[in-house]
Amino acid sequence: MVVRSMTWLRARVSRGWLLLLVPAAGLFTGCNELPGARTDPANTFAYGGTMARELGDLYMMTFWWATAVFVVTMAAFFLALWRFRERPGNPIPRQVHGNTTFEVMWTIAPTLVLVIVGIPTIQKLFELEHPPAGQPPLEVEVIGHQWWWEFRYPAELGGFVTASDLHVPVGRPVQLALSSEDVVHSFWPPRLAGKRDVFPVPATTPWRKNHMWFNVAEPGIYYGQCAEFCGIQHAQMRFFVVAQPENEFLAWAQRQSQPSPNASNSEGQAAFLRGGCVACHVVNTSTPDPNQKLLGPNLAHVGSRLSLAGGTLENNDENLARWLHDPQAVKPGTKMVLPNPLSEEDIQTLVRYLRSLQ
Amino acid sequence: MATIVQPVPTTAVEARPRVYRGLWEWVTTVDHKKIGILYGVTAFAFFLIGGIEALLIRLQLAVPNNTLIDPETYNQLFTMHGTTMIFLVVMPLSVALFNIVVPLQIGARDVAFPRLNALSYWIFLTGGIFLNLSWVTGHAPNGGWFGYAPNTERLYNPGPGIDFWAMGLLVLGTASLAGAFNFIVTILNLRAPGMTMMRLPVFTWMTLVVSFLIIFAFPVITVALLQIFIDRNFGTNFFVVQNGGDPLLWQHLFWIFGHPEVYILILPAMGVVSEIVPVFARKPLFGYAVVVYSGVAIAFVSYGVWAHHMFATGLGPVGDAVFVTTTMAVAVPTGVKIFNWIATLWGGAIRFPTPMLMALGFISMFVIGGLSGVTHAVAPSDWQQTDSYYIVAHFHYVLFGGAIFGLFAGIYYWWPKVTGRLLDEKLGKLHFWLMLIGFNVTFGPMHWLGLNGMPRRYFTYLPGMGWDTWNLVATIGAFIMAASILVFLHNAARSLRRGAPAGNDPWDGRTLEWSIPSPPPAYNFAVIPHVRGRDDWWLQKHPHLHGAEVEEAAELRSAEVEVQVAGHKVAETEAPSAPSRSSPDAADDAHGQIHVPDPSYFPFITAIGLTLFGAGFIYGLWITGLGVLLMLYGIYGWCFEPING
Repeated sequence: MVVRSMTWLRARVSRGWLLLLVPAAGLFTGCNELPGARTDPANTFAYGGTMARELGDLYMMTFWWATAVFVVTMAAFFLALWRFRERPGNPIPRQVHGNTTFEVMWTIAPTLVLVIVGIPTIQKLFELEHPPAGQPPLEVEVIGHQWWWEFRYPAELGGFVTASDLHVPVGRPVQLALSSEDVVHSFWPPRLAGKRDVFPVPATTPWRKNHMWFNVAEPGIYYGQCAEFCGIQHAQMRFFVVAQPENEFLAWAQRQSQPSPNASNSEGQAAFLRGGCVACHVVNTSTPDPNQKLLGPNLAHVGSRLSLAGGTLENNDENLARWLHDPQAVKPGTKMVLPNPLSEEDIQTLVRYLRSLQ
Repeated sequence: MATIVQPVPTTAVEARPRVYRGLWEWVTTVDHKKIGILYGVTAFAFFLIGGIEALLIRLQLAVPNNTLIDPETYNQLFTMHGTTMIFLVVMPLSVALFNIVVPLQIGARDVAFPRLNALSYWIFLTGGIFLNLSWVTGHAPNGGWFGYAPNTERLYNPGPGIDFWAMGLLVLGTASLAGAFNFIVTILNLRAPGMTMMRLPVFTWMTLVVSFLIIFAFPVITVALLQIFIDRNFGTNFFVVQNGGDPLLWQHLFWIFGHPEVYILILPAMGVVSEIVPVFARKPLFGYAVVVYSGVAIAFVSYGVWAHHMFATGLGPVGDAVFVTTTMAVAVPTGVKIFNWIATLWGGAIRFPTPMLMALGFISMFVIGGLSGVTHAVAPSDWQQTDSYYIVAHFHYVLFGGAIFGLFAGIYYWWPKVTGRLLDEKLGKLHFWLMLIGFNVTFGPMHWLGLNGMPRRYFTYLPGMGWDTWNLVATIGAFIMAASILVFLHNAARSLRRGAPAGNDPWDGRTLEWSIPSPPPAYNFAVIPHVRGRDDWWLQKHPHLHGAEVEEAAELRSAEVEVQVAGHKVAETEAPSAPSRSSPDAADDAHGQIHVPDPSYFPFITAIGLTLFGAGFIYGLWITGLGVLLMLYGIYGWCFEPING
């Protein structure tokens, strides 16, 4: 089925493939739920790391000042309405035209409040430009496509390419370089950071990519989504930040840099060719020619991803079969247009093959 | 005895219409009051269309994973909802009030350029119809009201929807610009004797400020719309990155227009509130000069804040910091206005008929919307809020809680003057409370939805995000709002059919429009008043209460006025009980020669020509050619038709 609920994530986790990667060292709070798994996976106040906390704290400071202004203003407002409502026989009130002292006071007072809020705001703008020093950041290239996210990991980790799941190590900053292959997108993991827009950038001026950083305090899965209107399926362009302890992350990266053990399965590869998948997808390696533009996500390890179709579907046999049967029915407008409909047999072969690519 | 003469044409390109009745009267009218009614009725019709678009959006979002509306249609719906509400509802409703009220408030008989005024209306109508024709052809624009490139480029948006959008807005923009020039000249040049700038009613001041905002903001959007149009149709590359263009250019151009635009949307409503609160508190506006200067300050500063819509685009900390500062700065004069309104209430004798309730609703809802706006000024936390439902909450609080409540306040306030009848008070209060409650139920929860991570412009959302309940609540609120509008429509129809007669001055008003009959005669003032101070009508009624300088109390005198057409008397009417004081026009009036602008159909023809000119770029250049011919005919006739014989 279409991803029906975020509980599928938690169920997935508790069923355990992520548990296999994380040493059971008391990192979980109760049951089998990862810390951070909750009923509000995109809550900007459920801070997953430093950046989100900084932004949330700044907001709360502003919020309390705004509340104070609101209370004072509305108290005066309602008090005036109550005290000075017309009663029978009221004479025409004194025709007061103004009072300079009041004007000065209620110009200066709000200005002061704004200065009090504005100074830390501007300080934070500069302070948050770079991640905290002391630990080498993980640098990942994020490429937005209509309507899926591509991630390219650095050469020192293997220079591999993946999609939809952004694995990161816990505790170290993650620095992202953002660019788009088509229209403007925006990368938003609400529990980890504010959003940063993702622009098409000419190859000749790579320094014009946007950058952002975050860090993650606890292992877990953190929901993310596109946040700049980018066309018909803007609402279904999701990603997941999968935070793991450093050694597990490195082990994952190591596996990602190699082709999947089952990638060379001849039956699967034959179906892949027959179906025309090779026109947009690469499946036999996760380190394709960097100059080769990907039309569709790299599928070298698609079996181990949390989702399919750019975060639209939970990754299971039934959903993959549905997707291969008719992508347009699942995600109308998707760029995945099959040259010819796949036979049921080919679909089953491909499902077995792709789901085996862990 | 004064005589109104409808002149006889002696030379004519065409025989000039003299007196028309029925539909043709409306097609050829150049009377600011009738044009105001046309604007108001048309804008309200678009309000209903935009409202239905909103209800469909809310129905789709009522539950997660909903399949009521497909994503393409949904994207068209929110694009048209925003575009309609901003350009076809709030702006024209404001212009409706400018038209009806400003000449009356300044003691003039009409605007400076009556036929240009009519042209603005007809362009609004034909442009609005053209834009909405896109629904009928199945290609409504789907790029959002903000139309970010390159999503709106032909490569990503092959159908004609965006062309409809760009061309429709280009056509509509000319109407706004023409109106702005008209009102500036009117306010500067046609004020009655003694009406100095600092004696102008605040609503008229805000009209002036908004007109300047339009003049400087609309050329920018015009350039941007032309650029996207020729990118799409003639192969240019303004926003195409592969060929040296830059999508960020679109955003800067759009928001340099877009931010002043939102002050264009709110200042008229603020002007309305500045009229209504003093009348129903029975006190002058507290701090008149400061309120006026605040409006001017807001207008100036509004040109310096635009990139606060772009905090997530990576401008860098220095750029962001500049716009944080200017955005916080613009909050100061805004707050000052609110404090002055509260001080106006303080010490008053406050009555609560519907116009006042609507104005008070404005003040309280705008405080909320304004404060959430200040939270957006904090750029780092705006990185969480922008493009989420928190922003949707903010701008609906200022645009609906602010502008729409304020415009309804104006509608209820000036309805008796325009129609000569009163709206029903019970129905008015029902409308107000339903609308206030429905509005808050709809948009209040959206603050939390945004902070809980729900982005905007999403045609559907997953269950299990914690978004389900409040989306359903918001949808219910939207239908409560819809019910409130039905109450208003019923009230309006009832009033027109059998509302109580209003008389000149049903509210015990303070400004000149209340000194003449309801509805006003064609010529507004039989005798152009000589203004002695601010709130001149109040001074005339209560000469002993003056706080500002006042000349000698005048006697009230009625005069009989005869209306003539071509030398033949056709009607006789009693002049309003406006005291006659020595004024240059009195001599003119004594000779009985009040010039009322002649009706004309050339503005109507020119407007159709302009719209066809634009439509042809989508449907075939032969239509553009036809439009050019019509425009030439319209403008030629306009130039050469005789003026008052």
